[in-house]
Amino acid sequence: MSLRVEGVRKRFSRQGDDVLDGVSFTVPSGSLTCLLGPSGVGKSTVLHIIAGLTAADAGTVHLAGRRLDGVAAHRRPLTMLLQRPHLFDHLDVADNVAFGLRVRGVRRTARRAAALEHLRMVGVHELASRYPRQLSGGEAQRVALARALAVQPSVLLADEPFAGVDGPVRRELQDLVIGLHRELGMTMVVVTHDMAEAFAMGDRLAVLDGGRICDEGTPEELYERPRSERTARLLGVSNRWSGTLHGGRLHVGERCLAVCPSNALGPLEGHRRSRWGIRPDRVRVGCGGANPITGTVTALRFVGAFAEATIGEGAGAVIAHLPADGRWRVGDPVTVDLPIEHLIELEDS
Amino acid sequence: MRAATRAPVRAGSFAVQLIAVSVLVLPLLVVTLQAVSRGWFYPDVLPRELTFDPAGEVLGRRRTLAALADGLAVGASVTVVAFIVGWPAARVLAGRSLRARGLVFGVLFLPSLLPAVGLAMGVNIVLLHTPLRSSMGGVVVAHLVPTLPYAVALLTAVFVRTDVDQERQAAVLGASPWQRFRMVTLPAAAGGLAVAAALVFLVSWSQYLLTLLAGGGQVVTITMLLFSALSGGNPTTIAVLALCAALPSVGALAVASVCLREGGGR
Repeated sequence: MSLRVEGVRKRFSRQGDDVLDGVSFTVPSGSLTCLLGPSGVGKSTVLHIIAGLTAADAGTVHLAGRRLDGVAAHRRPLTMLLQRPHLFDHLDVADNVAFGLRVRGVRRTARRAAALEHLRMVGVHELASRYPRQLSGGEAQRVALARALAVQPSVLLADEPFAGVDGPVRRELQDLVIGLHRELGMTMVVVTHDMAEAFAMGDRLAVLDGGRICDEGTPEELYERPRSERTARLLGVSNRWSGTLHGGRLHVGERCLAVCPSNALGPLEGHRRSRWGIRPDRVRVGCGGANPITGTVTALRFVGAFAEATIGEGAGAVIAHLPADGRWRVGDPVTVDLPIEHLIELEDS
Repeated sequence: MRAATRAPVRAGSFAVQLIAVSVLVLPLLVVTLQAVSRGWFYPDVLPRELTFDPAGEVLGRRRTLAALADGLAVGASVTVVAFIVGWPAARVLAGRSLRARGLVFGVLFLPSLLPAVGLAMGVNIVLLHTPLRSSMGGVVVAHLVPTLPYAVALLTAVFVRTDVDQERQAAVLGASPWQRFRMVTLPAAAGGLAVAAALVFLVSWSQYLLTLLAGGGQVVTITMLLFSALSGGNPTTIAVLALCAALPSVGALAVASVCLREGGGR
């Protein structure tokens, strides 16, 4: 079932600003959409509004064309995984998973069988008779996932469901959710502030920042071609400059850069202020391109697979990923190129 | 080395436990012996004759049984009413957004700061103008004055520790407000609620002056019989009545203790 959020606004105090200032986005039926944004921008609030746990000040939520405003949370045909598993301590794992079926009046034997089936789906059926206090963080989150799936919701909302687990367990849980999504074909919305997690899990992304959706699209589209400055910053486009477009070229300080018309948000002719950016991993080492830049390495940070180098100083500095082969030192001269196909214009926010 | 430093700590802890048990158990033991003895006079260390006859005689009196029944009825009614009235207040007080929580608690506990006689007289004057005067209902209302603050405070403590997100999680799993209350809130808070109920019951059970004035002599509880016996009864009768007065307390605390253990302290 497709989900449509339209013009949702929310303010938590009379004096404060709107946390959500007209949020609109669509979750296509059967998709796994990641709602991505920095901490504190209201991603969880959006999910809580969709689930009916928080009332919006304005705006609507439609599920398969049906308006959900005013429908109580327990009557909505969707469910939600909160940030922590919130298992019911007085129930064993199987009864936790069967909880949603119990409130729907399903008989004990049937709901127990369904609970075991869903526990098997998430790979923890051997824990059925344990109590929540006997589970690890990862196990508890798997049980919470089984409990959410057991009610067979039209849409599954997940609010940073892996925030409490790290490393390999987090990766396992991500793979589990991706696998279940493929298997069940369920519409899912996952909130995360982790770009890598959003790219790994989502087949669509919606970027929330500044109270609005800045960008929507597939992970590949947004990675290569973020439209807004906020999205670019969030997705790691750390080279962003303001300049002037004049004569079909971008003038940034002393530099005059060639740009590609298809990467511009408007016509290249004329004279206008403009904001452009390029990912550090798209900056090429060596000359021979259209936009060679020579400078000295002013900072170097070893990241593992590469070294993140700052070339030059001030507002015009370029951040590039250099090979982590130990060749580079701070103070070394280096020439890099900004390929025009990766230099993109950004909506100034 | 570590074992050597632990030894004095253990000894101190044992001493504290011994003193606590002595203070709690020894008086109860003496009263119990007195209740089942005939003729235990100074300087005898132990009673000369142990018998249940005097205790049976006191407990067999219609007046004693009626006082037990009235006390239990009043205590149970006060607990139920205090919970019904105190529950929503405690939910609000436990909420994160309430700024004046301290002030509200201060106002709530004001009656507890008044001298018992002044409080009882004030309540009595109010009740005299209502149909509840000299009735069990009047006694229940009067007992609410000292018990309600405790009920609200204890319930607030319970709700502060209750995970509100569990209710939200239950809601998105399809549980109606009543199902959430019955299947999530109540079991999660059972231990704390049992303790709160036990303490509210005990505050009501031990009221003397309020019961005397609000009940106008029509409602007699074990506490009142005990006070009456203390001013001239024989020691065995006093001991039997004292045990009757203490047993619900011990029972309530035992139930609360079991609930707390099973509910993990919540």
